[in-house]
Amino acid sequence: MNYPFWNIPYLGSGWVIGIIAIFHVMISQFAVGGGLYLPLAERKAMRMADKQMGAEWLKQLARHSKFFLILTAVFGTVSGVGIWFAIGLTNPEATSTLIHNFVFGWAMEWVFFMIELATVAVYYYTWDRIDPKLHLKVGWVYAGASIATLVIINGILTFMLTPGDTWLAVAGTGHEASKFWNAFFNPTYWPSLFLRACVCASLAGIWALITSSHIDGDKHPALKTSLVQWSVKWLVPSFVAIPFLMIWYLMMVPESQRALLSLGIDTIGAGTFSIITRIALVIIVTSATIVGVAYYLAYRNPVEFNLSHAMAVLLLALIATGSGEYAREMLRKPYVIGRWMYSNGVRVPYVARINQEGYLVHSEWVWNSSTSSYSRGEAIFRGECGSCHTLSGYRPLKTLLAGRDQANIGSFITMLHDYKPDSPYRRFMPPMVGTKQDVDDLTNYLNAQVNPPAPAKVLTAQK
Amino acid sequence: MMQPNLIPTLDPNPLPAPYWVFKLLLIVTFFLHIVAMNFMLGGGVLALVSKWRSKNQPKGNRVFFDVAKKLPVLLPATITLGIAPLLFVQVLYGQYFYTSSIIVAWPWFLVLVFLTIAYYGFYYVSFQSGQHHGRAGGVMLFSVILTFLIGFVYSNNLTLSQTPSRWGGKYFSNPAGWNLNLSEPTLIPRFLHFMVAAVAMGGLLLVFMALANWKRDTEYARQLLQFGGKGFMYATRAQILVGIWFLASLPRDMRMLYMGDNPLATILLLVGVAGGIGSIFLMSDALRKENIRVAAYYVPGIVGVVILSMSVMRDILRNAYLKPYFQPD
Ligand code: HEC
Ligand code: HEM
Repeated sequence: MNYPFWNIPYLGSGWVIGIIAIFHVMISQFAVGGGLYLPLAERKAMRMADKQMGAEWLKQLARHSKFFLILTAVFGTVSGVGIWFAIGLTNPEATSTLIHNFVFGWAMEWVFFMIELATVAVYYYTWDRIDPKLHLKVGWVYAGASIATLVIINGILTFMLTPGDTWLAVAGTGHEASKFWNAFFNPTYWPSLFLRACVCASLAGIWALITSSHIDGDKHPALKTSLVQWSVKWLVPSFVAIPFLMIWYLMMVPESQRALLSLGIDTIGAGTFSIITRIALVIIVTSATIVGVAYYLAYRNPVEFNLSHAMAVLLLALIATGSGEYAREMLRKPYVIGRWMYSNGVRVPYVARINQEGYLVHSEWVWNSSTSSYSRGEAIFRGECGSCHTLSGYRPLKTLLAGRDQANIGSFITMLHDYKPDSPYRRFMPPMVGTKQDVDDLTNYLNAQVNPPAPAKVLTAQK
Repeated sequence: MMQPNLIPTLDPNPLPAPYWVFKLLLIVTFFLHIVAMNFMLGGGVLALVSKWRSKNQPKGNRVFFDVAKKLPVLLPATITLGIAPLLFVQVLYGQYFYTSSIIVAWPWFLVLVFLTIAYYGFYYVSFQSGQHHGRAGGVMLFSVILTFLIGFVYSNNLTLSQTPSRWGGKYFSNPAGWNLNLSEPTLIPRFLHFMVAAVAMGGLLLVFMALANWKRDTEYARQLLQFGGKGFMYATRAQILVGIWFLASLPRDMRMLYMGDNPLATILLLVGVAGGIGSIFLMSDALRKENIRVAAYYVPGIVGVVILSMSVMRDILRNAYLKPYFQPD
């Protein structure tokens, strides 16, 4: 156990990443999609036969770009920093691995990000101040830079799910850098890129609906109609292509990692699978509702389309995005980096060694370096289970283990430790690693939580 | 009381390039980050001073709003230029940086909240105009205070990251991450050293604005030059005291690095002190003669060299702190 564990009672640290990530995804993918939306819309307006209408479009686009600038530049950058903070706090081991592998990828991403920020500011501040053709060019540079950021980050994100056999073959040998490109263009790279591109386009359309809903439909019916209808069209690629892209994506995930999905079909009582199936249902239902709302409320009745309609679409999109990212997380369990590192930071090839030497030998984040079984068990719990479980709160072990006595808890932990090939828990939990002593310590700690002894006993246990 | 077992072992995945490449990138990008931060924070402080000193007269308000218009650009510049050193510091010092961040997790996390609010505050002020600006001063003050707090959290985290002997006690007293590093004797002088420098650099920002207005609106430009130049001089004078305090607060063997033990560190300190004092004289001369060229080219040139040598000194200090645990290469 290398690092201390950021112990967030009740909520668990996973949620911290989750909440920030969902916001970040909503906004950064909008930045990419919107980066394309703005110059395309501007070009369309410049080419309109009806000059009057073209001018009105441009005015509306200038307003949209202010909203765009503030939303993406403020929330986009801050939530991006937020992701950095969150992954470092909750999973330093995995973050370090990613950084050691992809530092130059990130450095490149950073350069494009700088270009993105500079051009979006120029774009916004130079409406009507520079030659329209030049202004449009600035928009294209922005679009190019923001697409480049997606192209890069997608390699790193998909690597976590599917590092690919080539990289895995050299992992841990010190020659990882020689397989950089294999790691980058890993098996799920392309399906994921197209999936995300579709989502980006949809989000561009959805956020544009928000600003278009502000247009007074009584005063400018033609403007509102044309803008709302054009924005709705940005949702089309998603709803045509996403089902196929999803299938392609899943096909690229190795069979062994897909187990959690089939759990929905062959069913065990644990309730995990039903989470996945429920998420799938949520995604399908919300997406269908978005189509319905976008078609009937926006496309068919653009003039009456108002802010609360638009917010409803946005909220649905938030739910769909959130569920999608959550499903991706679940799919990755029990790994944080597929087949290389478990969610709790234990590297797969190290398991045997830790089982021999003990989990706490190399680094003792144990209360006051105490040697009591309870304190050691607490440290093991934090290090090995804390990334997915809390004691009481999210995936609470007190509840999950309720009704078991010490021996029973011990046999559960032993089962998790032995990690037999047919163990159903393999699909979502890493093995419990450590010596027999570690198993006992964890058992003692958990037992003291689940079956609290009389107060006096707790004191002796802590000594 | 040392607990060597608390130091995380090095990541088994090696770095994809030599150590010095990342070191260079870290120092260069940190330098850029700190310069942008200085313009933002110092600019914000001086804008407020100008507004209050002039008791809301149009003259002071004009400076206030002119600076305010720059902040929504300077803040994202600070953030974005901060992301690069954030990457490289993790590359080079991950074991220390992650650990200390986890120990101060909640204040660290609050940085994000402060950033968002400060950001909107700056936007709010920049969209106000000279006439109806009701709360602009208050909002600005609030945002500037938040950015101070952000810098303070950074100083806490970074000082903690280089003193592993403090980790255990802090972590176990609050594993949920409600910690700071207030018991660190260098914390306050170190933090003040950064903040006072920021005010001085804010003065230079005003001098640059004077340069931009020199031909168009000479009277206003003179006002900017005098106000900014004085801000620079007062802050840099104060810096001499803060710098001595900082040096005195360092553990003896670290202090001696700058007094002969490490020739490079000693030379850099001399360059820094000489540059600082020299720039005060140069600026005072430029103000008397209203020589915008000296104020806007020569002084910033010298100050740039000073900040660069301070950035290298800061790195030498970190290596010295970590020496018992970590000798790269
Ligand atoms: C990769 C994340 C992950 C880690 C790490 C993890 N678990 Fe789990 N665990 C899960 C998931 C997911 C479930 C299913 C939760 C549910 O049914 O709500 C689960 C379920 C359980 C259950 C209930 C099993 C049942 O059949 O009812 C127990 C007990 C449990 N975990 C104990 C542990 C212990 C002890 C550790 C540490 C050694 C641990 N887990 C580490 C993800 C994890
Ligand atoms: C706007 C508010 C900010 C202020 C006022 C600020 C201020 C500071 C200060 C004073 C330091 C030096 C601390 C010390 O050494 O004691 C510092 C270092 C640093 N800052 Fe910022 N910062 C801000 C935002 C950010 C952001 C958003 C990031 C990241 C994205 C960032 C990244 C860094 C990094 C990585 C370092 C350390 C570099 C190193 O140790 O070499 N900063 N900052």
